[in-house]
Amino acid sequence: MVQSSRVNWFGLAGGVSVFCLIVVSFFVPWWQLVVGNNLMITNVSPLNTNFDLFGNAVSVPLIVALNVASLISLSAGGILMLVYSVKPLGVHSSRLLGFSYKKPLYSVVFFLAGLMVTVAVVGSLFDISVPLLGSQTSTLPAEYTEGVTLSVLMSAGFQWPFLLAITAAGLCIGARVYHQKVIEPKPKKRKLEVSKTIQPITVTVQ
Amino acid sequence: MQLLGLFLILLSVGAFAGPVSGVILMYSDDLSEVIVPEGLEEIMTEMTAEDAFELPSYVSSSVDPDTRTAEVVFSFTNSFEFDLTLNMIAANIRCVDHDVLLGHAELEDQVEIEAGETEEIAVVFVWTADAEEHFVEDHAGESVVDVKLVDLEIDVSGITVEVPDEVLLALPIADVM
Repeated sequence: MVQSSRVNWFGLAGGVSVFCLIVVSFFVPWWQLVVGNNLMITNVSPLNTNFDLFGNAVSVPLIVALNVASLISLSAGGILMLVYSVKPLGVHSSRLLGFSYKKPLYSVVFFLAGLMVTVAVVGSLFDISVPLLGSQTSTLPAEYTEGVTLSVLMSAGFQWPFLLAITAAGLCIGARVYHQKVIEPKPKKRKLEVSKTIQPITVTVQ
Repeated sequence: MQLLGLFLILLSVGAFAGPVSGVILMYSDDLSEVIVPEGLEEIMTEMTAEDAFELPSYVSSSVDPDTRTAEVVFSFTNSFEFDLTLNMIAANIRCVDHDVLLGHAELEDQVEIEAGETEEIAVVFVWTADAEEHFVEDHAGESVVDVKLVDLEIDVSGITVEVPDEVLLALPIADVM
């Protein structure tokens, strides 16, 4: 039987939230860019990135491979975090925690860094301004449009799974911090012994 | 203990090295395909084909002299494989022969055209008092005046196109005078 006092609750919550994040990310992206009235939709997350160009689904093989890699890495992190959480005093617990608590954090950091770099590179390559957050009308350079002035409305924004990812990362870091408390031996409570025998008090008046 | 450490290191490295090297092996014949989206070339070919876009064709027109408006109905077939929304058409109207500004043209209502479907687009032409005078003075007895749409701006599904070319039209004016 698992003793409740020896469960790393942050780790347990972190592990569960990592699995929720994995499932959710297949249906809702972390970040979305919509061009025009849904003419082009870019759904981005470390686990599932896809593009919808004029009603056609398009995929980039390298991004698919990186998505699979993230899936394996996050799943392994989630499983090991759960294993550690229910037995934080085990022989391998520190190693399991050390491996698993960083995975959601890495996902968030690499996702953000990759997104910012990609948006900057695409913007400079095509000489257009791509928003990271909010709506913006960008005018395409004349060399691409044969003299026609073409303005495109672009809307971008982070979706709620991104907040879930930050929460999962926070819980896993919390598990690492809480681990110190879990492994510290609990001080034994001292019981105060009160004598039940009433001693008669003798007062002597001189 | 050391075995577990080794396993975790292998897991970390293998999680990324496996899928990435797999994709590189799959596309080893042409590595550019690793970063170029699959199917992109086909989509671009379809989009830029000469017969990809069909110009709207004239259907009918009606004139209301009281409000100085003419409604011209065009038929447009969406030949693309995705739905289109015509949000806005705006243009100035000028007489082809005399280059006089006659008025303004705009889309009556937003039109949604599903993929492969044909819809009617009603464009309202609003002419000025000067235009009426111009019709009487320079086009007396004519039932149709050749006009050109200039400064044409079209918003299709959030993409705004400012057309530099002039679009020629025959505007019925019999009921105007």
